[in-house]
Amino acid sequence: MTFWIELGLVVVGARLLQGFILGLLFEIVLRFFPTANPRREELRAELRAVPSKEQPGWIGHLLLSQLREAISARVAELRAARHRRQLDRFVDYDVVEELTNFVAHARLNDGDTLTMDGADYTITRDQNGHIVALPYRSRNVGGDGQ
Amino acid sequence: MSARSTNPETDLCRIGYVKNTKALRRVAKVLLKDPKGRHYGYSLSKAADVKSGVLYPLLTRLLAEGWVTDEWEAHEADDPGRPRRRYYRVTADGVSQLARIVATEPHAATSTSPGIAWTQ
Repeated sequence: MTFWIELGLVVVGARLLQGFILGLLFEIVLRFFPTANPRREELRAELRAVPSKEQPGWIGHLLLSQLREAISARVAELRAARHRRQLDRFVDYDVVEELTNFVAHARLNDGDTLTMDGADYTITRDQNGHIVALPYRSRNVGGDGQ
Repeated sequence: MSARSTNPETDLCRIGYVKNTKALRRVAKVLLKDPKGRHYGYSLSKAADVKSGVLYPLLTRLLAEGWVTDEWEAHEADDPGRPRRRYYRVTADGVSQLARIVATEPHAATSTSPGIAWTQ
């Protein structure tokens, strides 16, 4: 009788451990995604749709591919943040092309606000894609830009 | 971003810039069965018999190509904390592109080399 109780405890314990480890791995992968990445919420919702018997396989297959996707999303996010920080310190307004390039790498869109030298500027572009609302225009281009 | 050297018009292994794989053809078939319906990841994975690790990166590429769009289900009043499900819907462009992909599926009668496909 004791044997069966022990066996039952081992089985239940193993099941709990398996569920815990899978849940932990799944959560770790989700945490690798940037906070705003829609895949975080999507995968959480999807897991609820997966029957519990299929969950180990589903998570297992997901781990590697999503870890890769999550890490590349995180790296892209970090790179964009680094470019945004560089932009904040950008004071050499003569290098228009370089500045435009930085804005592109920082993934700033029209309407986004950029802080430079303590002042806020709203990003807007002309038809050629050049930024028109930053101070280098008024300093270096003269009256036509703004 | 790396330069893409393949020509999607002539490369039979790619449609647009999406690699034409067996998993993609399976998913395409499921999407085309109900082109106006909305699908979510797990249902697609079951219906197309595609592993989760393959499906989600595939959906990301389809989204990037504009062949599908995504939308979120509304929060339920009785359970606002529950994560919302993300649905995918095929676009008009997606229907034609996915149909092209399904058409490239190799058939035993027309292909002598497994895994190699050609269009007619």
